[in-house]
Amino acid sequence: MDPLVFWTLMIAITTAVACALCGVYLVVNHESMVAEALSHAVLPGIIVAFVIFQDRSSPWLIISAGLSGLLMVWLVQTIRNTRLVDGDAALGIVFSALFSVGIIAASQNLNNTHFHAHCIIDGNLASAALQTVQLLGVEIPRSFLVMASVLVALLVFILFFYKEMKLAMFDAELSQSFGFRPALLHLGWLALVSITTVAAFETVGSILVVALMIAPPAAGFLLGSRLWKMLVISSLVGVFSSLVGFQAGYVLNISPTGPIATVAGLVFLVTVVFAPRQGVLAKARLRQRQRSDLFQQLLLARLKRDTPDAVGVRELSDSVTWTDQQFRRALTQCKNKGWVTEDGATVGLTEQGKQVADSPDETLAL
Amino acid sequence: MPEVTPALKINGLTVAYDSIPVLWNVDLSINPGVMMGVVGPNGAGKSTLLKAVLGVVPTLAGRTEVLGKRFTKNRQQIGYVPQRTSVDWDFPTTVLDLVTMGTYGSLGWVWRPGAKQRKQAMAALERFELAEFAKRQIGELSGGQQQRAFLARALVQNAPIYFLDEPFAGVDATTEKAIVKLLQSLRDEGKTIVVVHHDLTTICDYFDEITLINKKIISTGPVSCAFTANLLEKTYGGPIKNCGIDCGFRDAPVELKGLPAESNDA
Repeated sequence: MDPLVFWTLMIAITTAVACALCGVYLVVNHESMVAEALSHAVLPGIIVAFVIFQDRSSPWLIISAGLSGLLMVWLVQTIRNTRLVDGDAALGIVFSALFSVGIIAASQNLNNTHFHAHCIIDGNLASAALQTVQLLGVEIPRSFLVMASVLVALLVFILFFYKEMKLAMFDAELSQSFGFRPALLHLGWLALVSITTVAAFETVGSILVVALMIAPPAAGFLLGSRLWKMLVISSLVGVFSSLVGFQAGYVLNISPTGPIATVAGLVFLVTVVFAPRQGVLAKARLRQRQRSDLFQQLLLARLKRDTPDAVGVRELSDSVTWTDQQFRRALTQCKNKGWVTEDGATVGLTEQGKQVADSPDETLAL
Repeated sequence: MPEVTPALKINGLTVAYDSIPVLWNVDLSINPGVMMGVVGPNGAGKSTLLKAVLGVVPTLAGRTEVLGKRFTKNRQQIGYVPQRTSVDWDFPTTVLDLVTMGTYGSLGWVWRPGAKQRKQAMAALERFELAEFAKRQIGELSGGQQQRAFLARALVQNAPIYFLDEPFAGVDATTEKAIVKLLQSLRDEGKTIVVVHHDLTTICDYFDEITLINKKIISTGPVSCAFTANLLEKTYGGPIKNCGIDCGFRDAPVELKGLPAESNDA
């Protein structure tokens, strides 16, 4: 594999996994919009650091942007505490205001620099691997080193504070009473999320950051019944989206960021439909089965009222308000299970059918 | 006779949200082995009282001792059961995981629960007849089962004191009775149980002692002397009629531990 392609792919994958890990906590905590807000609110921090240091690759950009993200979190919290506006509104006000400040600052100071609108939205993954540094005699792209460090920081945080984060998110009061510091943990985590956002922002742009932070964890939420499973599944979805999206971009000869975001969205869509327990299909199937059970049981109950004599099919079908099709299906299913017998135009209960009719609560959970 | 160390001793506790006092100069002492109901109208600071003791809400003044020590030095002594609706039941975790959370406090930072903690959690689940649900997602439990799982989580702490915030809210009568029975059996083992409670009609059946509260303590002590019509009226700011309270004080303790039904705001 061409080293440039290899490293570009590696950058995409590390970014995807880092974003997925961040996103799991945001999605579980009902804070998905924070990803969107942070991806915009970091802009003034980036511009300020750039104006001061005049160096696009200065680590101060990331730090300053992280601080800008925390500023947003603090402002949102302050506005929320006034109780004059809703939490969502506070978020909307603050991040758009910070983003506007960033845009104005950029257009005033940086007209002739690398900062262009399309870079902010699309990033430039395609050329992210071009700028390299020497490490142990190997040429490694700077972007990869940045993303890998961020990923390691996230993994270390999760490794150490998995239990504390879980408790803080699920039950902050209990966490506080145990002497853990849920508010501090949350703030620390959001600081890491802002740093991840900035680091990823540079390579993949603001849209992909949001897509990679929300779509894989949203799929993971439907598939994983526990927090750690959700972390693993979301990361895998992120990796898969990067691989497939990258390939698609290569084939279509376009920037890979768009296809990666699209694949992540598609994976979520497929999950919503096909997830084994929470998916739309699974739920529809379950509902249909329950409804079919209900009809069969009701049919038996109607028959039982008229035993011992066999009942005319017409008469039986008139005693219920179902469509012909529903009635026919219920009757056929009961026959297949050996609960009723149909003899010409009359229907009767079998011994087995009588037993089932006597204890409908087991099937219907009455 | 040597003085018994109170399970809980609160001195001059004051809590305010912004500048509005929610609890005002609260003094309260609870003896060990007592099942205590905390009763008062909405906004009377019942939940806040529990949370202030646990350090969940900041206090403006006051001092709390748990079994003779500051709570911050004695955190494991209180098992807390928050209101069931205070958490998100769609959270991705299993019933066993939920109950294992009760062991996190004793594990401290960073250490993860292991086989021992899971065994404790399973034992608590069995006591609450929830063992078959151990692997289930918490969202699949019914309201009563969720409440029992919450209680099981507190039980694994094996604390001498339990705080319960409205444990009977939204559970059916059968579950309520089962929970009361369990709490009483814990009380008989010598545990101290403090319950924020709403239903005035069941107080005489459930509790040994009661605290009537409305920002200040109105009365505290054995049900027979701290739960009278006059004091209730004072707590709720109006006569409470036709609510079917008829204690008859059958179970009034002979010795009243020298606690008169005093009012605290004199």
